[in-house]
Amino acid sequence: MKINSVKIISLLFFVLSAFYLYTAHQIQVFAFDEGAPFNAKTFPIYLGYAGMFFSGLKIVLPDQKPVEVDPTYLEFKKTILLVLTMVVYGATILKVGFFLSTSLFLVFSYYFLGERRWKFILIFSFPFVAIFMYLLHGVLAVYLRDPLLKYIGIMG
Amino acid sequence: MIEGILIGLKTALSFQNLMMVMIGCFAGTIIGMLPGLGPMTAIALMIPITYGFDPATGLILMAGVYYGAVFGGSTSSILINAPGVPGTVATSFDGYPMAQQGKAGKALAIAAYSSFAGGTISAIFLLIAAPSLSKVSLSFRSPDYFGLMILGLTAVAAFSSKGNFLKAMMMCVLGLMLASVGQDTLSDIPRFTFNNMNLSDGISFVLVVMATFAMSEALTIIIKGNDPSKAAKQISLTDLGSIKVSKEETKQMAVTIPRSSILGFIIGVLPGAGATIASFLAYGMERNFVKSAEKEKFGKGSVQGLSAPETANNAACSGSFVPLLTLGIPGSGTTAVMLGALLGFGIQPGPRLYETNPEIFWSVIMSMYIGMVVLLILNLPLIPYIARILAVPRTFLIPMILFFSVTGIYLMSFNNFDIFLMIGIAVIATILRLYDFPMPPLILAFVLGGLMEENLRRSLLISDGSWSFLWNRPLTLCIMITIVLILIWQIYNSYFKKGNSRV
Amino acid sequence: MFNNLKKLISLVFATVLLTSISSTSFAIDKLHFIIGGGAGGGWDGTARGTGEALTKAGFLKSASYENMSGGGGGKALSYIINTKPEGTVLVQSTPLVLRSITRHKGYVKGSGVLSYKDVKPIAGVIGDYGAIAVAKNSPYKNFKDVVDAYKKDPKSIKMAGGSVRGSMDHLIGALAFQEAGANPNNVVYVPYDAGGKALAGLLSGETQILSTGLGEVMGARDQVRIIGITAPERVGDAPEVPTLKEQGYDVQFVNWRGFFAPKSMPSGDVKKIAKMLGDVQKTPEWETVRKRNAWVNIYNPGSKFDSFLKKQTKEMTKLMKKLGVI
Repeated sequence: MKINSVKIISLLFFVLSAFYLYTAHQIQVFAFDEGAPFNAKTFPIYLGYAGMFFSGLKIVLPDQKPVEVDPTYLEFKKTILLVLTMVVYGATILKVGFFLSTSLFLVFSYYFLGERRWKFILIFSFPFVAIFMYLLHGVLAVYLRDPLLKYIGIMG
Repeated sequence: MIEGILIGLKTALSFQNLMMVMIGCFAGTIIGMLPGLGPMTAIALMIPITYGFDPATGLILMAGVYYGAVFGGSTSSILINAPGVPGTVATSFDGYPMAQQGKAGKALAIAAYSSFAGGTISAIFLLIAAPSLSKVSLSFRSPDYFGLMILGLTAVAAFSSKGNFLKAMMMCVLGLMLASVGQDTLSDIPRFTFNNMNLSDGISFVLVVMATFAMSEALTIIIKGNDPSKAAKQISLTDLGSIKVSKEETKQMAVTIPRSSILGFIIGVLPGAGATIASFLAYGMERNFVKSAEKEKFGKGSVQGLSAPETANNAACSGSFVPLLTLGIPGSGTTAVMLGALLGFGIQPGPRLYETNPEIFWSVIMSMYIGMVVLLILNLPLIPYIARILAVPRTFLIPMILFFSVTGIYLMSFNNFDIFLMIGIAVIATILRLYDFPMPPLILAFVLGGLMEENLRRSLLISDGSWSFLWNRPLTLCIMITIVLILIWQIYNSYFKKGNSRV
Repeated sequence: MFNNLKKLISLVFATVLLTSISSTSFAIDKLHFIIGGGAGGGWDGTARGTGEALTKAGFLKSASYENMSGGGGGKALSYIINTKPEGTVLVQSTPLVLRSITRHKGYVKGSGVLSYKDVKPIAGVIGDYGAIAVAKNSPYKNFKDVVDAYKKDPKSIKMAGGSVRGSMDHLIGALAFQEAGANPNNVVYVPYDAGGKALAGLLSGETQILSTGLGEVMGARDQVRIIGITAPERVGDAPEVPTLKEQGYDVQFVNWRGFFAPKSMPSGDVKKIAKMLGDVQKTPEWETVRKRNAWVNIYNPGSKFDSFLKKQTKEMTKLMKKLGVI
């Protein structure tokens, strides 16, 4: 048996299924449901076994068509930067407000992806988000939390 | 009846109502393209606008928004693999690969024709058979829904070709696991929530779709940025191809559309199903019907694989008006909002709606036709321009996709936990995709799995714990036999016909 | 420099965003509604409808609405309890009481968190009575027929409802059976995930009775026979529907919807808002909204509301213990 990435993923999946199965057994069902042939636990328990079964087979059986990804082709740095930008975006969207966090998210992600035309970056961030906000907030009356704009006194 | 049609035509063709159809279709298309804002939100947002209108006009506007939203959803499915509306997820299975092959224009055109045909054919069914069809919607019970969901799950086979069977099954299990998170729908017991309140409502479908499709697609493009074979592929994207559909493709669509329309319409009529399930079922069924050469193309840009779900989801939208208008039963969140609007106008749905408010009944149906025509006219000439979205530089397109994904989820729940959850799922999905784990089985299982479990448990509750419901009623028995036949046929095909192993 | 930037941003935004009054005045002229669910739901309709009537009738200059879903409304509730925002009210309904009883099964640490006792009740404004319905062609003509059939064979009656076990829909039916002398725990309750689907289940014949809110079955009065509602007397919108009380089963239950304020809101303001919510119900603007949504007015302000909540909590605790859901 040759060890490759798909096998490692399958192993992780096997562990996940086992954990899922364990958690499924921990589900507290109501007293009146405990004797029922099919209660809230039943399906998850079978599901846990199914996950262990399929991933187990994948680990044991030989690969018909192994997939190998050459890591030298992968752009880890860019991807991780972008994921981190998204996480920061998610963390600030409620606290700082929709306008600034969205605009900055766009600015940074354009930049990380290699965009250097500043005019382009600036047009498709702040004014773009302002128009988007106007359509949602003003026209469709979808409330967008924005403590910053509230502080400035633009938004109620 | 002719008289009714004439009344309907007269009402629907008035200048004001025509304008409403157009405005509705246009607004719906735009809202539908934005992920997170589906037809339900679109209609809910329209309600305050319709207050001053007379009922027929208000309903016509809302029906227009409904169709427009479903239509708009398919555009983002095809172009950026970001289904704007749950009902158009299946559209992306073949629509997006087609766009990647440089046939974005054609894919959009096929989607437009299929939607049009599906919507029109089912509006005819609605016209001639609405009252008698209400019986169909009441003949389905929980065991039958259970069977339907399993039937839908057999479509997983579509993604298990070429030694991917185990991978497809693992993704299917993962989808079912994700669906089981949250308060259990029957007894309100928290499952897999780890005492986190953010998980108690479960994981939303849109979140999973955006994470596994749109977001992980964007991340895959970035991470594969240095891959020489991928870079070559990217260039061809600037050439969007013509929107002309060839004769052979038209022939293919001519067989797909009628059967998908019928299937979609019937599923739409059922209060426990809806456009999303209709599109998945149509996709799975279509794969069972087509020639084996075409079958190989499923998931890789098949014309029939694109046409079937796109036809079915529009047909299902029309179908969902049957229980709404004739029984007062809302089959989905969207029609529930519309029922509220109807009652607000002082209209009592039911078989008597025919007699009490014929102009409403008929004008809604007539406006469906008009809406379909408007959508086609609105969209066909615009396709080349819309398809140009793909030609914009990646440095712009990718941040935009990510922005729409995050905002889409934010607009649904206004909860940043959901954003983090989505990023987490997207990162995992990206890694899985790198190693050729297919994502559609995950989505399929996510949608159908919860409903399958729910209907099974309900069936057992009703039959006092006995499994006899599986064969007690002819309808359930028929569905079960169909499932067994399909499974046998699929096993026969994969193991004996070509003699190749699928493991 | 900063000032100029601030001015510039303000200018850009003033033209594109809806402006509203920035300074706080003594009279309450604007309110922010927090809605614990998405657009199109029951809470959403209540908040937006009430806000619309309040602004159109001139009680408020402006109203804004913020949807905040998660945890079945728990997310919004904990926001009100913990953040205590100014000028903000929360829309809630009977599930708040049920949540306070169950403490939402372990989501909550400590005592008294996420209960209605942690917010200030302003007023109950509208309500929906519970209803028991059967299909039009059902052999059961009134609730007594159902009870008789149940007593003969408890398995012959399956009760559908539009939500989980232990939810309001379940409790309505259970209350009625309890009043009829049956053990509510033995009545088979079949949960569906929406009122419409439960209705379809009833009409398809897989269940014999449906227990839900009156509003849910108003749209289908041609298909179903409502054999009893939990109102003290018949309601104007459906005068042909009998109450359970007049059939000899004294069951009264109302699913109220009302507004709550954070604990930090001054009592004077709470009273002002409560008065406003009462006064608006006399205006034609409210009547338009009410009719559109088929609401029943049950104005119930201040301490009256508070003691009503306490009473409901007591009743429901007893029943839910019997049903084994807590």
